[in-house]
Formats: sequence, structure tokens, C-alpha cells
Amino acid sequence: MLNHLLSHPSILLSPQARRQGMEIFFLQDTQSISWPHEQLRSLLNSLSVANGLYLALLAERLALTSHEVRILELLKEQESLATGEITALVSLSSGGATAVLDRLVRMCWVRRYPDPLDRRRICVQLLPERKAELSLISKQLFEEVLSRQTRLAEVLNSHFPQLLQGLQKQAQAA
Amino acid sequence: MKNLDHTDFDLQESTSLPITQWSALISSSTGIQCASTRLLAAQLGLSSADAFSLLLIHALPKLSTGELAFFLSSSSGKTTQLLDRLEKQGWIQRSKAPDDRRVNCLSLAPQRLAEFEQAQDRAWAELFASAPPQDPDELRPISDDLVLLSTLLRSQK
Repeated sequence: MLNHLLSHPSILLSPQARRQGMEIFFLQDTQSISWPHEQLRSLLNSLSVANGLYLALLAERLALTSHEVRILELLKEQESLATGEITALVSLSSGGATAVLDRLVRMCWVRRYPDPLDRRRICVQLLPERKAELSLISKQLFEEVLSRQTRLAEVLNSHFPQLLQGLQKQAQAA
Repeated sequence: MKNLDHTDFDLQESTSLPITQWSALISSSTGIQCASTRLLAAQLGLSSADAFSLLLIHALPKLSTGELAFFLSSSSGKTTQLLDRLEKQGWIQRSKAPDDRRVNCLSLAPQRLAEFEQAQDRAWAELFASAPPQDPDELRPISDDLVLLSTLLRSQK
């Protein structure tokens, strides 16, 4: 669903590189911001907050730290990531990311392996059996959260087709 | 953005929801959350943890120090240090909860609210610079749903 957005180049680019694109977008006038639209800002705020709360609850259930859970969730979506990519994505230092990954390897959540195309590049992958476990716990969490709220359920159900449509448009634009 | 106050909702029983899809949506947005927090941090000149804390304080009314510590997966002591730093820089203010004076409620300092929201605008624009949405008005129901969802996630703590 959001895979197109997640793989959007701007997510992995440096701020400097992205800034070049922004200057073009704003027609070299970064003071008169007419974009993002209020709705997009609201969406990104809501998504970031909802995701942050979800990760905290998931971390508690799995007895992991927020960094560990964040990395697992990223790996769940991306199949595998290079250690350098993980460092950039979760805003950790190289040493910090290595320590977190060491712990995840010890706890049998992930495995490291050399990239077959470039053996200097180390990739990290969520172990398949753990991926299923992570998805199950995530699903259970949502079941618990949502099954108690009829009013919310009605709202979500009525808007779900629009949600999908909106996200698909976003993905196409990306 | 709407405020996310879980006390506004009555919890009732049972429903049938596309749980798998919602679960997939929120968990698959981790990359976006990481990127948006990182970009916001760069705009504000703060660390990612500080920027994410401001994002939560801005979005969640009456957020307590204990709740923030939980959502950051951080200890109470470290969270207090983080809040001291943000308060010293003028980003946040603490106030006593009206119903329990032992609890500190956190809010964004009014004098820096506009600055924070402008930084958000710039950060989100940077994220989507090369791919603006075709019709942002269609995003409204999605945002509303996510606000409600966050409300419930908060109530799970």
C-alpha cells in the first residue's frame, strides 16, 4: 500500500539533495510556502503520530526498545536493507545501529549477510519465521485496539475505500 | 491537525474491521515516520528524539511526562532530561493536570507554535518535493481516520 512512498527516493536522500528539489518546487521562494496543502500536513502528522504510538505499544509487547522495533518494522516492509541504509533511516550513529543490530541478531530476529552483488555491503534481513510472528502480534494489537470501539469502526469502515484510493493516488504520484 | 484526546471517546464492544489492512497501513508507515521525523529534526535544529517528542506533544493534548516516556520507550529520568532541555529552549511548557496535581501536562509553548508548524510544513514539503499529491482534499478522511486511530492507540497505554 505505502510501499511506493517508502521506496520514494526522497526518503533515503540526504537533506541537501532534497533541498535542491524543494527550491525548484517553491520557485526559489522558500518564504511563501503554499505547499504542502493543509490536508497533506494533517495526513503526515496523523500518520507519524499513529505510527509512533503503534511502535511504542509493539515495543512493550515484544520487550524490545523503540529503535529495535522500528528497524524490525522497516525490514518487514523492505525484505532487506543495507546496514548503512538502516543507520540513515532510523537516525542512529553507525556504532549505535551496529549495537542494535547485534542485539537483534542475538535475539534471533534478523540475520546479516553479504550482498551477493557487492560483498563489502552487509545486508540485514528479518528472519521469515519472525516476520510472521511480528505480523501476528501487530494484528492482535490492532484487534484489541479496534474491536472495542464501534463508533470508530463505523467511521473507519465507511472511509476505508477512500483511504485506499487516496493512498493509491499518492503512490502513483510518487 | 485535530487533537487526539482519548477521553473524548466512549469505548464500546465488538465490531468487524479490516484489521489486517489497518495493521498493514500503520506498520508500513514506519519509513515515512522515520523520514518525516528526521526532516523535522533538521528543520528545527534538534535531535530526532527531541523533534518526535515535540510532534507528540503538539498532537496529543494533556500528554503527561509518563505517557511521553512510554511512547519514546525511554526511562522517566531520560525523558525528564529531554523535557528540561526543550523547556530551556522555549519549545514546551509544563503545567499541573487540573484533576491530579502530581501529574505534569505538556504543551507546546504558544510563542513557538507558529515556528514549529512552519518547520513541519517545510519538512513535509521536502519529503514530497518531487511528488506532490494530485488532490490533497481527498486526504481529509484519511487524516480523520488516523486521528481516531491514534486516539485509540493512546488509550491502550
